[in-house]
Amino acid sequence: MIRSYVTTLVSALALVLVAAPAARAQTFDAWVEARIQALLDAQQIGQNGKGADKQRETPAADSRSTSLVDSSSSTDFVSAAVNLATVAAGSSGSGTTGSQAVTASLYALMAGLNGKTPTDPQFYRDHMNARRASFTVGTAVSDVKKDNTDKAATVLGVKILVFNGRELYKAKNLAAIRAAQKALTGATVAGAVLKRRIQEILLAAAHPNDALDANGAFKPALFLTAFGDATFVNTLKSVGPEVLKKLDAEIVSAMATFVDLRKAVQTAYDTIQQGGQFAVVYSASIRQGDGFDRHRAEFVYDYGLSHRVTWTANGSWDYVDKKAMGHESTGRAATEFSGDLTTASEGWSRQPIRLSGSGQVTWALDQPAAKEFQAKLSLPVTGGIEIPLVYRYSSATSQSSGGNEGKLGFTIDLSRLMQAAK
Amino acid sequence: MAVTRTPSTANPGGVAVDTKAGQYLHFALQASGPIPIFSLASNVKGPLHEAPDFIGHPLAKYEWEHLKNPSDAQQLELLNLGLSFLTSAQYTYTVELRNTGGGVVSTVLQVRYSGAPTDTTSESFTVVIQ
Repeated sequence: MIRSYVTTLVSALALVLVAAPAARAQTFDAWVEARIQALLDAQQIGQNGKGADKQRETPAADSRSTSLVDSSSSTDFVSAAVNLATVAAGSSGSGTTGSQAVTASLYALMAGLNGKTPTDPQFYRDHMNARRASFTVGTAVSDVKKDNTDKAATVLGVKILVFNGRELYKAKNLAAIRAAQKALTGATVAGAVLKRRIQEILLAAAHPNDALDANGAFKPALFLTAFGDATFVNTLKSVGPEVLKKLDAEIVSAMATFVDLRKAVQTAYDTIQQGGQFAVVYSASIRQGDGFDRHRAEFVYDYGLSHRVTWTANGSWDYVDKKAMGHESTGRAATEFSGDLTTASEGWSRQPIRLSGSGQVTWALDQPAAKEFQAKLSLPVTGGIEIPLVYRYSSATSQSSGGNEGKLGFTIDLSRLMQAAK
Repeated sequence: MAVTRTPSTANPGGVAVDTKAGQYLHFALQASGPIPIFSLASNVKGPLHEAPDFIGHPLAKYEWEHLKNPSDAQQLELLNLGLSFLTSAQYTYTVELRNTGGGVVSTVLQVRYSGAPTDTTSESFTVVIQ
């Protein structure tokens, strides 16, 4: 069964890769930037990274979620998550149909009501606190053994971000953004001078006998035709490798400001992404009739250990209302380390391939502690769509025999999808 | 580099401006993100504009004019726009050639960019004074 899912996944990925547009003809600016980046990379300066803080999956209170540990920050806007199937180890039957949930921030709702796009800069600045609250609604499949019904549960959740070290308008983050702006201005000025120097070298090489006028200045008309999107490729073809070496030497001599820009942007990114976040969360799975209702109150803290690794910790109290059969409560502690295996420039998608390891311990009155361990590999398909592959081990308890299971999920970030579609 | 560049009017590399007839350039930069980060620089005059210079920054749209004052005219001036995607994932950059009455003579270039937070990019062209 797992093999069939993997086959389907590989086929889907192959389709996405085949459908990717062919490489575009290189423009003058893109060519210069590619040379700068190549020379910067050769010096091994700076690295790229992606945030790991956005929770886009169904809350962990639903045991079918592919997210064992909740993260403190929900998506800024709107996201949907669907857990397709649970596959028990050794099972040959079809998996259980999974859960669906939609999470929206108060900010997204207010933007919609005000007719604003969530990315409107002024609306974003003026509604900082609205981004602290998010809501989740959805459904979760019920298991007769665990939930005393086979009717789907209604999933409800609310998350309040008490402290947000990643808020752009925090003083330290604004200072990092100002530093990035200053470095960009320096690189843009240096880039203007460098590009002109490169153009002059190319024109002198491409038109050795007629690039200059009687006064020794470059003929203006050449600049109207040599460096356009459609024409630069011909200009570049007309010069030899010795000219390209000369151009690289020019770029290296101007490299300092581009190094500064890369460092400033990476520092600003790390400053923002590694900020700590603390959230309190309430979530519930409500079932009709005699079905058990499950409630969870928890705190979530996460912190960027490095630009690729995020640490998250949860502590929660769970309450199961068994209705006519009474109730029970448990305590839970969980932690997760999540790391990005690729950067925006390394994988097939701008979203990183992400590997995480997490564990949780659950305590109930008069029962041994239940332990679970999970390893998850999140594979981005395209902007806004990810497929999480999950292995989970759980220890035996009085209610279950424990064991191993595999899970396959499917997450959609609608805001990213909409951005990609624009 | 992960910046996606989508031109609807391709960059010609150079634009002829008849400043004696009152022609000038109108720039517009639309941003989709919380805090746009950009700069425009000249190879002759250095920095011309950057995002924090604009009243009301951060804005969804920034507009400015160049060469409206004929004394600004500089033959073969290269104008270079720098963009950072750190806190704004998308930009649309439009340059128009306008006449003395403000009418659009032509769209010089119009390009949409999208990128990841640590991406930067730039776009340049040369002004040829007629």
